Amino acid sequence: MLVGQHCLFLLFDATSPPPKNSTRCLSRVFRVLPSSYLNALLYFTVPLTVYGGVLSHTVLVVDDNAQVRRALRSLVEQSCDWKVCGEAEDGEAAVQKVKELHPDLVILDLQMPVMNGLEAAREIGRIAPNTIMVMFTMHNSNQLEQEARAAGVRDVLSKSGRVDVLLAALLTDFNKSSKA
Amino acid sequence: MEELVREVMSFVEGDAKWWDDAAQNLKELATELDPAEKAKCQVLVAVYDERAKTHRELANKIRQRLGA
Repeated sequence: MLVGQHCLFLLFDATSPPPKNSTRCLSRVFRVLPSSYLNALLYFTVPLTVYGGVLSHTVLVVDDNAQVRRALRSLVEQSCDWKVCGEAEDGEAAVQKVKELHPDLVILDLQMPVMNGLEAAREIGRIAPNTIMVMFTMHNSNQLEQEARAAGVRDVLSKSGRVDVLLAALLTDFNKSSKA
Repeated sequence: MEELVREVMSFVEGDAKWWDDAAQNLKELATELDPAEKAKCQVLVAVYDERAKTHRELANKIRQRLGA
């Protein structure tokens, strides 16, 4: 009965994002439970932990300029509860990384060697339709915005704009996507 | 026409230096900021450096064409 109740608690918990201190919460559960229930509890704890890992939203940063990639990585990791799971220096590498890493969100530059941001967006949209794409570019125009949106890009943001706007857009886009 | 192109090239080279200086100044300012603000500034520094590089590359292309 007790096991059932705790299993129910864990299953219920697994359907919503775990709190930041979920590890601490679980260790408290471990301390109060009799040892005979631990095996059953572990059965549910492992997938919950894995699920928690998936829920730390992941970002792929794509830009041919290593300095921009580094700066975006520290910006995203400083300001959000997100983790940069990878970087790519051109569109082709980005498509490959999306296949390998399954990021929740991709920040794409436009002008890159080998495959540009628009071509990459079309390919990423085809292979990973749930991945949110945001274009962060020096060459912003109405025409580009239309083409980018047609390629599946959610937002086109100028590199000359306020960086706060980029962060706000990432959060808004992700929230919209979560509700959809 | 050639005179006009030289004028454009000179302007583009000046712009490259302008963006380099802006990036350098911002980089120095960023050292005094807290980590969150510093991260935002570093994105701008990277973007300004990229802009300077684009201008330099364009100026080099023009110079090569003029020299050819």
